[in-house]
Amino acid sequence: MKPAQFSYIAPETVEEVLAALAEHGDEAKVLAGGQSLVPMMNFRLARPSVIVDIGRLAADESLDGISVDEGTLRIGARVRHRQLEHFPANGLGPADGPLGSLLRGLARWVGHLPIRVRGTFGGSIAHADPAAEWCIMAQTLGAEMVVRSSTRPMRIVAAEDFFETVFTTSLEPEELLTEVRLPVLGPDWRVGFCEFARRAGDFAVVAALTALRIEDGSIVEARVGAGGVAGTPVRLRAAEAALVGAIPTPAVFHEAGLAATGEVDPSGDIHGSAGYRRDLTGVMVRRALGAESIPTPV
Amino acid sequence: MTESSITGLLESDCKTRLRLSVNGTERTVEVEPRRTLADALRDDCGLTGTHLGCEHGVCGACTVLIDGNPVRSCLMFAVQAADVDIRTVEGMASPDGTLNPLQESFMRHHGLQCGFCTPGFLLLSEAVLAARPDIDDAELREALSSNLCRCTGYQGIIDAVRAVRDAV
Repeated sequence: MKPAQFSYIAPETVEEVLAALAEHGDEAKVLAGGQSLVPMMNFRLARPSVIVDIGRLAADESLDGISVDEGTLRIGARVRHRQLEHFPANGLGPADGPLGSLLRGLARWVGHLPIRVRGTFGGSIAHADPAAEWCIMAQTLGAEMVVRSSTRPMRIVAAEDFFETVFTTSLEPEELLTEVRLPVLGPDWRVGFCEFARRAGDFAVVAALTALRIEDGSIVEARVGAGGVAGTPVRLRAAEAALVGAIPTPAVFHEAGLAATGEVDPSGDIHGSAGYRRDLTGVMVRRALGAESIPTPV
Repeated sequence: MTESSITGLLESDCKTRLRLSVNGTERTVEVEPRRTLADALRDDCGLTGTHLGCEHGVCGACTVLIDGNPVRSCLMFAVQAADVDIRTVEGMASPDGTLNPLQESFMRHHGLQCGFCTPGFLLLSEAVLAARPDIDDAELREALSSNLCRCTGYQGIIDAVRAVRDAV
Protein backbone atom coordinates (compact mmCIF):
# COMPACT_ATOMS: atom_id res chain seq x y z
CA MET A 1 0.00 0.00 0.00
CA LYS A 2 1.11 3.54 -0.69
CA PRO A 3 0.60 6.64 1.44
CA ALA A 4 -1.93 9.25 0.42
CA GLN A 5 -0.59 12.49 -1.03
CA PHE A 6 1.06 14.96 1.30
CA SER A 7 3.12 18.12 1.05
CA TYR A 8 6.58 17.94 2.55
CA ILE A 9 8.81 20.38 4.33
CA ALA A 10 12.20 19.67 5.87
CA PRO A 11 13.22 22.76 7.84
CA GLU A 12 16.77 23.51 8.90
CA THR A 13 15.99 25.07 12.28
CA VAL A 14 13.72 24.14 15.18
CA GLU A 15 12.06 27.57 14.87
CA GLU A 16 11.06 26.77 11.30
CA VAL A 17 9.66 23.41 12.45
CA LEU A 18 7.58 25.15 15.10
CA ALA A 19 6.41 27.75 12.56
CA ALA A 20 5.36 25.01 10.14
CA LEU A 21 3.47 23.16 12.89
CA ALA A 22 1.75 26.39 13.97
CA GLU A 23 0.77 27.12 10.37
CA HIS A 24 -0.58 23.70 9.48
CA GLY A 25 -2.00 22.62 12.85
CA ASP A 26 -3.53 19.17 12.97
CA GLU A 27 -3.11 18.77 9.21
CA ALA A 28 0.61 18.29 9.89
CA LYS A 29 2.61 15.41 11.33
CA VAL A 30 6.22 15.44 12.47
CA LEU A 31 8.40 12.86 10.71
CA ALA A 32 11.49 11.72 12.59
CA GLY A 33 12.58 8.10 12.04
CA GLY A 34 9.25 7.20 10.45
CA GLN A 35 9.13 3.67 11.81
CA SER A 36 5.64 4.10 13.31
CA LEU A 37 4.22 7.00 11.30
CA VAL A 38 5.06 5.68 7.82
CA PRO A 39 3.47 2.23 8.35
CA MET A 40 0.30 4.03 9.47
CA MET A 41 0.48 6.26 6.39
CA ASN A 42 1.06 3.27 4.12
CA PHE A 43 -2.07 1.66 5.62
CA ARG A 44 -3.79 5.05 5.29
CA LEU A 45 -4.68 4.93 8.93
CA ALA A 46 -2.87 8.28 9.01
CA ARG A 47 -3.34 10.78 6.19
CA PRO A 48 -1.53 13.96 7.20
CA SER A 49 -1.64 16.56 4.45
CA VAL A 50 1.70 18.05 5.51
CA ILE A 51 4.80 16.17 6.68
CA VAL A 52 7.29 18.20 8.68
CA ASP A 53 10.54 16.24 8.48
CA ILE A 54 12.91 17.01 11.36
CA GLY A 55 15.62 14.83 9.81
CA ARG A 56 17.37 17.75 8.13
CA LEU A 57 17.68 19.94 11.19
CA ALA A 58 21.27 20.77 12.02
CA ALA A 59 22.63 18.72 14.93
CA ASP A 60 21.28 20.20 18.13
CA GLU A 61 22.33 19.35 21.69
CA SER A 62 18.78 19.42 23.00
CA LEU A 63 17.36 17.21 20.23
CA ASP A 64 20.31 14.88 19.69
CA GLY A 65 22.18 14.75 22.98
CA ILE A 66 22.24 12.38 25.93
CA SER A 67 23.47 14.13 29.06
CA VAL A 68 23.20 14.28 32.82
CA ASP A 69 22.46 17.45 34.72
CA GLU A 70 22.09 17.42 38.52
CA GLY A 71 20.41 14.07 38.94
CA THR A 72 18.43 14.30 35.71
CA LEU A 73 19.15 12.43 32.52
CA ARG A 74 18.15 14.23 29.33
CA ILE A 75 17.56 12.29 26.16
CA GLY A 76 17.05 14.28 22.99
CA ALA A 77 13.88 13.36 21.12
CA ARG A 78 15.84 12.61 17.94
CA VAL A 79 18.23 10.11 19.57
CA ARG A 80 17.84 6.83 17.70
CA HIS A 81 17.17 3.52 19.46
CA ARG A 82 20.45 2.24 18.07
CA GLN A 83 22.39 5.02 19.81
CA LEU A 84 20.92 4.01 23.15
CA GLU A 85 21.63 0.34 22.48
CA HIS A 86 25.29 1.18 21.88
CA PHE A 87 25.62 3.94 24.43
CA PRO A 88 28.96 3.19 26.07
CA ALA A 89 28.91 1.54 29.49
CA ASN A 90 29.56 4.32 32.00
CA GLY A 91 28.71 6.72 29.20
CA LEU A 92 26.94 8.87 31.77
CA GLY A 93 29.94 8.86 34.08
CA PRO A 94 29.15 8.33 37.76
CA ALA A 95 25.43 8.71 36.96
CA ASP A 96 25.41 5.74 34.58
CA GLY A 97 24.57 2.94 37.02
CA PRO A 98 21.20 1.19 36.89
CA LEU A 99 19.62 3.74 34.53
CA GLY A 100 22.42 3.32 31.99
CA SER A 101 21.99 -0.46 32.13
CA LEU A 102 18.25 -0.07 31.71
CA LEU A 103 18.57 2.17 28.65
CA ARG A 104 21.08 -0.09 26.91
CA GLY A 105 19.13 -3.22 27.83
CA LEU A 106 15.67 -1.95 26.87
CA ALA A 107 16.89 -0.58 23.53
CA ARG A 108 17.49 -4.12 22.31
CA TRP A 109 13.82 -4.92 22.87
CA VAL A 110 12.67 -2.17 20.51
CA GLY A 111 11.63 -3.73 17.19
CA HIS A 112 14.38 -5.20 15.02
CA LEU A 113 17.80 -3.88 14.00
CA PRO A 114 16.60 -1.97 10.87
CA ILE A 115 13.85 -0.35 12.95
CA ARG A 116 16.34 0.67 15.64
CA VAL A 117 18.65 2.15 13.00
CA ARG A 118 16.00 4.69 11.96
CA GLY A 119 13.46 4.95 14.78
CA THR A 120 13.87 7.63 17.44
CA PHE A 121 13.37 7.69 21.19
CA GLY A 122 11.17 10.78 21.04
CA GLY A 123 9.21 9.35 18.14
CA SER A 124 8.34 6.29 20.18
CA ILE A 125 7.27 8.43 23.15
CA ALA A 126 5.16 10.75 20.97
CA HIS A 127 3.59 7.79 19.13
CA ALA A 128 2.47 6.48 22.55
CA ASP A 129 1.97 2.81 21.86
CA PRO A 130 0.92 1.45 25.27
CA ALA A 131 3.17 -1.59 24.83
CA ALA A 132 6.29 0.32 23.70
CA GLU A 133 9.32 -0.19 25.93
CA TRP A 134 10.25 3.51 26.11
CA CYS A 135 6.69 4.50 26.99
CA ILE A 136 6.61 1.90 29.77
CA MET A 137 9.93 3.23 31.07
CA ALA A 138 8.76 6.85 30.91
CA GLN A 139 5.57 6.07 32.83
CA THR A 140 7.23 3.83 35.40
CA LEU A 141 10.12 6.14 36.22
CA GLY A 142 8.05 9.32 36.06
CA ALA A 143 9.69 10.95 33.04
CA GLU A 144 9.11 14.56 32.11
CA MET A 145 8.55 15.56 28.51
CA VAL A 146 9.94 18.86 27.27
CA VAL A 147 7.58 20.37 24.73
CA ARG A 148 8.05 23.44 22.56
CA SER A 149 5.84 25.47 20.30
CA SER A 150 5.98 28.90 18.70
CA THR A 151 2.75 30.02 20.31
CA ARG A 152 3.45 29.54 24.00
CA PRO A 153 6.37 29.11 26.39
CA MET A 154 8.17 25.80 26.64
CA ARG A 155 6.27 23.43 28.91
CA ILE A 156 7.23 20.31 30.82
CA VAL A 157 4.65 17.53 30.99
CA ALA A 158 4.79 14.66 33.46
CA ALA A 159 4.46 11.21 31.89
CA GLU A 160 1.17 10.55 33.68
CA ASP A 161 -0.30 13.69 32.07
CA PHE A 162 1.36 13.04 28.72
CA PHE A 163 0.00 9.60 27.83
CA GLU A 164 -3.77 9.88 27.35
CA THR A 165 -4.79 6.72 25.54
CA VAL A 166 -3.67 4.48 22.66
CA PHE A 167 -1.51 6.55 20.25
CA THR A 168 -2.79 9.71 21.95
CA THR A 169 -0.83 12.19 24.02
CA SER A 170 -1.47 15.65 25.41
CA LEU A 171 0.80 17.16 22.74
CA GLU A 172 -1.05 19.92 20.89
CA PRO A 173 -0.85 19.93 17.07
CA GLU A 174 1.54 22.89 17.08
CA GLU A 175 3.85 21.33 19.67
CA LEU A 176 7.11 19.44 19.24
CA LEU A 177 8.53 17.00 21.78
CA THR A 178 12.20 17.95 22.02
CA GLU A 179 13.55 16.12 25.03
CA VAL A 180 12.69 13.57 27.71
CA ARG A 181 14.02 13.85 31.26
CA LEU A 182 14.45 10.91 33.59
CA PRO A 183 15.59 10.77 37.20
CA VAL A 184 19.07 9.28 37.55
CA LEU A 185 19.00 6.08 39.63
CA GLY A 186 21.78 5.77 42.20
CA PRO A 187 23.71 2.57 42.88
CA ASP A 188 21.16 1.55 45.54
CA TRP A 189 18.52 1.08 42.82
CA ARG A 190 17.96 -2.27 41.19
CA VAL A 191 16.09 -2.39 37.89
CA GLY A 192 14.35 -5.27 36.15
CA PHE A 193 12.36 -5.90 33.01
CA CYS A 194 10.40 -8.78 31.54
CA GLU A 195 8.49 -8.91 28.27
CA PHE A 196 6.37 -11.53 26.57
CA ALA A 197 5.80 -11.20 22.82
CA ARG A 198 4.64 -13.75 20.27
CA ARG A 199 7.73 -13.31 18.09
CA ALA A 200 11.12 -11.66 18.54
CA GLY A 201 10.78 -7.95 17.79
CA ASP A 202 7.00 -7.81 18.13
CA PHE A 203 5.30 -5.38 20.46
CA ALA A 204 4.78 -6.90 23.89
CA VAL A 205 1.62 -8.75 24.75
CA VAL A 206 2.53 -7.67 28.27
CA ALA A 207 5.80 -6.20 29.58
CA ALA A 208 6.74 -5.07 33.07
CA LEU A 209 9.47 -2.79 34.33
CA THR A 210 10.51 -2.56 37.97
CA ALA A 211 12.88 -0.37 39.97
CA LEU A 212 13.58 -0.92 43.65
CA ARG A 213 15.67 1.20 45.97
CA ILE A 214 17.13 -0.99 48.65
CA GLU A 215 18.53 0.37 51.91
CA ASP A 216 19.94 -1.85 54.67
CA GLY A 217 18.43 -4.89 53.00
CA SER A 218 14.88 -3.50 52.78
CA ILE A 219 12.95 -2.00 49.90
CA VAL A 220 12.44 1.69 50.65
CA GLU A 221 11.13 2.81 47.26
CA ALA A 222 9.46 0.82 44.51
CA ARG A 223 8.35 1.63 41.01
CA VAL A 224 6.44 -0.97 39.05
CA GLY A 225 4.92 -0.38 35.64
CA ALA A 226 3.46 -2.41 32.81
CA GLY A 227 2.49 -2.07 29.18
CA GLY A 228 -0.01 -3.92 27.05
CA VAL A 229 -2.70 -3.90 29.76
CA ALA A 230 -4.46 -0.57 29.15
CA GLY A 231 -4.65 2.35 26.72
CA THR A 232 -1.47 3.77 28.21
CA PRO A 233 1.43 2.24 30.11
CA VAL A 234 0.41 2.04 33.78
CA ARG A 235 2.02 2.39 37.19
CA LEU A 236 1.06 -0.56 39.38
CA ARG A 237 0.55 1.06 42.79
CA ALA A 238 -0.73 -2.01 44.60
CA ALA A 239 2.33 -3.97 43.55
CA GLU A 240 4.53 -1.09 44.70
CA ALA A 241 2.75 -1.03 48.07
CA ALA A 242 3.35 -4.76 48.46
CA LEU A 243 7.08 -4.16 48.07
CA VAL A 244 7.84 -1.05 50.12
CA GLY A 245 9.12 -1.95 53.57
CA ALA A 246 9.67 -5.60 52.70
CA ILE A 247 12.89 -7.53 52.36
CA PRO A 248 13.39 -8.47 48.69
CA THR A 249 12.74 -12.22 48.55
CA PRO A 250 11.07 -14.47 45.96
CA ALA A 251 8.03 -14.71 48.26
CA VAL A 252 7.66 -10.91 48.36
CA PHE A 253 8.06 -10.72 44.57
CA HIS A 254 5.35 -13.36 44.24
CA GLU A 255 3.02 -11.25 46.43
CA ALA A 256 3.77 -8.17 44.35
CA GLY A 257 2.94 -10.16 41.20
CA LEU A 258 -0.40 -11.18 42.68
CA ALA A 259 -1.11 -7.56 43.58
CA ALA A 260 -0.28 -6.54 39.99
CA THR A 261 -2.65 -9.19 38.61
CA GLY A 262 -5.35 -7.84 40.89
CA GLU A 263 -5.03 -4.21 39.88
CA VAL A 264 -4.95 -4.36 36.07
CA ASP A 265 -8.07 -4.49 33.93
CA PRO A 266 -6.85 -5.33 30.42
CA SER A 267 -9.07 -6.05 27.46
CA GLY A 268 -8.57 -9.14 25.37
CA ASP A 269 -7.67 -9.40 21.71
CA ILE A 270 -6.46 -11.98 19.22
CA HIS A 271 -3.09 -12.21 21.02
CA GLY A 272 -4.49 -12.96 24.45
CA SER A 273 -7.73 -12.82 26.43
CA ALA A 274 -8.24 -10.33 29.25
CA GLY A 275 -7.71 -13.05 31.85
CA TYR A 276 -4.55 -14.24 30.17
CA ARG A 277 -3.10 -10.73 30.11
CA ARG A 278 -4.05 -10.22 33.75
CA ASP A 279 -2.22 -13.39 34.79
CA LEU A 280 0.68 -12.56 32.51
CA THR A 281 1.04 -9.15 34.18
CA GLY A 282 1.69 -10.83 37.53
CA VAL A 283 4.22 -13.21 36.00
CA MET A 284 6.04 -10.41 34.17
CA VAL A 285 6.19 -8.29 37.35
CA ARG A 286 7.46 -11.22 39.43
CA ARG A 287 10.14 -12.11 36.88
CA ALA A 288 11.23 -8.48 36.41
CA LEU A 289 11.61 -8.14 40.18
CA GLY A 290 13.73 -11.27 40.33
CA ALA A 291 15.91 -10.37 37.35
CA GLU A 292 19.60 -9.94 38.08
CA SER A 293 20.04 -7.82 34.96
CA ILE A 294 18.00 -6.60 32.00
CA PRO A 295 17.45 -9.71 29.86
CA THR A 296 18.26 -9.88 26.16
CA PRO A 297 15.44 -10.61 23.69
CA VAL A 298 16.85 -13.89 22.35
CA MET B 1 9.38 21.47 -10.54
CA THR B 2 12.27 22.36 -8.27
CA GLU B 3 15.90 21.79 -9.19
CA SER B 4 17.31 19.14 -6.90
CA SER B 5 16.33 21.22 -3.93
CA ILE B 6 14.50 20.09 -0.85
CA THR B 7 14.02 23.53 0.62
CA GLY B 8 10.65 25.07 1.25
CA LEU B 9 7.32 23.32 1.02
CA LEU B 10 7.17 20.62 -1.64
CA GLU B 11 3.58 20.51 -2.83
CA SER B 12 1.87 17.13 -2.69
CA ASP B 13 1.17 16.89 -6.42
CA CYS B 14 4.45 18.41 -7.61
CA LYS B 15 7.42 16.35 -8.59
CA THR B 16 10.81 17.26 -7.22
CA ARG B 17 14.00 16.42 -9.07
CA LEU B 18 16.37 14.53 -6.78
CA ARG B 19 19.79 13.04 -7.19
CA LEU B 20 20.12 9.66 -5.52
CA SER B 21 23.45 7.92 -5.04
CA VAL B 22 22.74 4.24 -5.65
CA ASN B 23 25.57 1.70 -5.62
CA GLY B 24 28.01 4.52 -6.25
CA THR B 25 26.15 5.85 -9.30
CA GLU B 26 24.23 9.13 -9.29
CA ARG B 27 20.71 8.81 -10.59
CA THR B 28 18.25 11.60 -11.14
CA VAL B 29 14.61 10.95 -10.35
CA GLU B 30 11.53 13.15 -10.33
CA VAL B 31 9.16 12.20 -7.57
CA GLU B 32 6.20 13.38 -5.53
CA PRO B 33 6.86 13.68 -1.78
CA ARG B 34 4.86 10.52 -1.12
CA ARG B 35 7.13 8.35 -3.28
CA THR B 36 8.80 5.80 -1.01
CA LEU B 37 12.47 5.08 -1.53
CA ALA B 38 11.53 1.51 -2.44
CA ASP B 39 9.23 2.68 -5.24
CA ALA B 40 11.77 5.25 -6.43
CA LEU B 41 14.41 2.52 -6.69
CA ARG B 42 12.11 0.10 -8.46
CA ASP B 43 10.00 2.32 -10.68
CA ASP B 44 12.14 5.41 -11.23
CA CYS B 45 15.61 3.81 -11.25
CA GLY B 46 14.52 0.47 -12.71
CA LEU B 47 16.32 -1.38 -9.93
CA THR B 48 13.74 -4.08 -9.28
CA GLY B 49 16.02 -6.21 -7.12
CA THR B 50 14.62 -4.40 -4.09
CA HIS B 51 11.40 -6.28 -3.39
CA LEU B 52 8.25 -5.05 -1.72
CA GLY B 53 6.37 -7.47 0.49
CA CYS B 54 4.33 -6.00 3.29
CA GLU B 55 4.99 -2.28 2.69
CA HIS B 56 4.76 -1.52 6.37
CA GLY B 57 8.17 -2.39 7.69
CA VAL B 58 7.56 -5.91 8.95
CA CYS B 59 8.87 -8.32 6.29
CA GLY B 60 12.22 -6.72 5.44
CA ALA B 61 12.15 -7.72 1.75
CA CYS B 62 12.82 -4.07 0.81
CA THR B 63 15.88 -3.73 3.07
CA VAL B 64 18.62 -1.57 1.55
CA LEU B 65 21.74 -0.07 3.07
CA ILE B 66 21.69 3.63 3.90
CA ASP B 67 25.19 4.80 4.74
CA GLY B 68 25.97 1.17 5.53
CA ASN B 69 23.01 0.57 7.85
CA PRO B 70 20.11 -1.77 7.04
CA VAL B 71 16.92 0.23 6.49
CA ARG B 72 13.38 -0.60 5.36
CA SER B 73 13.10 1.32 2.10
CA CYS B 74 9.28 1.16 2.28
CA LEU B 75 9.44 3.33 5.42
CA MET B 76 11.58 6.05 3.95
CA PHE B 77 10.55 8.62 1.39
CA ALA B 78 12.78 9.26 -1.59
CA VAL B 79 12.96 12.95 -0.65
CA GLN B 80 14.69 11.86 2.56
CA ALA B 81 17.38 9.99 0.66
CA ALA B 82 18.87 12.78 -1.46
CA ASP B 83 22.18 13.03 0.35
CA VAL B 84 22.87 9.52 1.57
CA ASP B 85 24.74 6.53 0.17
CA ILE B 86 22.22 3.90 -0.95
CA ARG B 87 23.23 0.31 -1.65
CA THR B 88 20.91 -2.26 -3.17
CA VAL B 89 21.26 -5.90 -4.13
CA GLU B 90 22.26 -4.83 -7.66
CA GLY B 91 25.50 -3.50 -6.18
CA MET B 92 26.53 -6.73 -4.51
CA ALA B 93 28.02 -8.79 -7.34
CA SER B 94 31.13 -7.60 -9.18
CA PRO B 95 30.58 -5.82 -12.51
CA ASP B 96 31.78 -9.01 -14.27
CA GLY B 97 29.00 -10.97 -12.59
CA THR B 98 31.09 -12.68 -9.94
CA LEU B 99 28.83 -13.18 -6.96
CA ASN B 100 29.52 -11.65 -3.58
CA PRO B 101 30.59 -14.26 -0.96
CA LEU B 102 27.21 -13.94 0.75
CA GLN B 103 25.38 -14.59 -2.51
CA GLU B 104 27.56 -17.66 -3.12
CA SER B 105 26.96 -18.87 0.40
CA PHE B 106 23.17 -18.45 0.16
CA MET B 107 23.26 -20.69 -2.95
CA ARG B 108 25.47 -23.28 -1.30
CA HIS B 109 23.54 -23.52 1.97
CA HIS B 110 19.97 -23.39 0.65
CA GLY B 111 19.57 -19.85 1.94
CA LEU B 112 16.83 -19.27 -0.61
CA GLN B 113 14.10 -21.08 -2.47
CA CYS B 114 11.71 -18.68 -4.20
CA GLY B 115 14.17 -15.81 -3.73
CA PHE B 116 11.66 -13.10 -2.89
CA CYS B 117 13.15 -12.30 0.52
CA THR B 118 16.74 -12.85 -0.59
CA PRO B 119 17.79 -9.29 -1.51
CA GLY B 120 16.67 -8.06 1.89
CA PHE B 121 18.41 -10.88 3.71
CA LEU B 122 21.62 -10.36 1.73
CA LEU B 123 21.83 -6.67 2.56
CA LEU B 124 20.83 -7.23 6.17
CA SER B 125 23.52 -9.91 6.48
CA GLU B 126 26.13 -7.73 4.83
CA ALA B 127 25.46 -4.89 7.27
CA VAL B 128 25.46 -7.21 10.27
CA LEU B 129 28.78 -8.83 9.34
CA ALA B 130 30.36 -5.49 8.46
CA ALA B 131 29.45 -4.11 11.88
CA ARG B 132 30.22 -7.28 13.83
CA PRO B 133 32.54 -9.66 11.94
CA ASP B 134 32.72 -11.88 15.05
CA ILE B 135 29.00 -11.79 15.93
CA ASP B 136 28.02 -14.86 17.96
CA ASP B 137 25.36 -17.33 16.86
CA ALA B 138 22.66 -16.12 19.25
CA GLU B 139 23.07 -12.49 18.21
CA LEU B 140 23.18 -13.49 14.55
CA ARG B 141 19.86 -15.32 14.93
CA GLU B 142 18.42 -12.26 16.64
CA ALA B 143 19.66 -9.97 13.86
CA LEU B 144 18.33 -12.25 11.11
CA SER B 145 14.94 -12.40 12.84
CA SER B 146 14.48 -8.87 11.45
CA ASN B 147 13.33 -10.27 8.10
CA LEU B 148 10.76 -12.85 7.05
CA CYS B 149 11.27 -15.90 4.82
CA ARG B 150 8.45 -18.30 4.05
CA CYS B 151 10.48 -20.97 2.18
CA THR B 152 13.66 -21.94 3.96
CA GLY B 153 12.70 -22.21 7.59
CA TYR B 154 15.61 -19.82 8.19
CA GLN B 155 18.19 -22.45 9.07
CA GLY B 156 19.71 -22.34 5.57
CA ILE B 157 19.98 -18.56 5.82
CA ILE B 158 21.65 -18.77 9.21
CA ASP B 159 24.05 -21.44 7.91
CA ALA B 160 24.89 -19.29 4.88
CA VAL B 161 25.71 -16.18 6.89
CA ARG B 162 27.59 -18.18 9.51
CA ALA B 163 29.75 -19.77 6.81
CA VAL B 164 30.76 -16.33 5.51
CA ARG B 165 31.44 -15.11 9.03
CA ASP B 166 33.63 -18.14 9.75
CA ALA B 167 35.49 -17.89 6.44
CA VAL B 168 36.80 -14.45 7.29
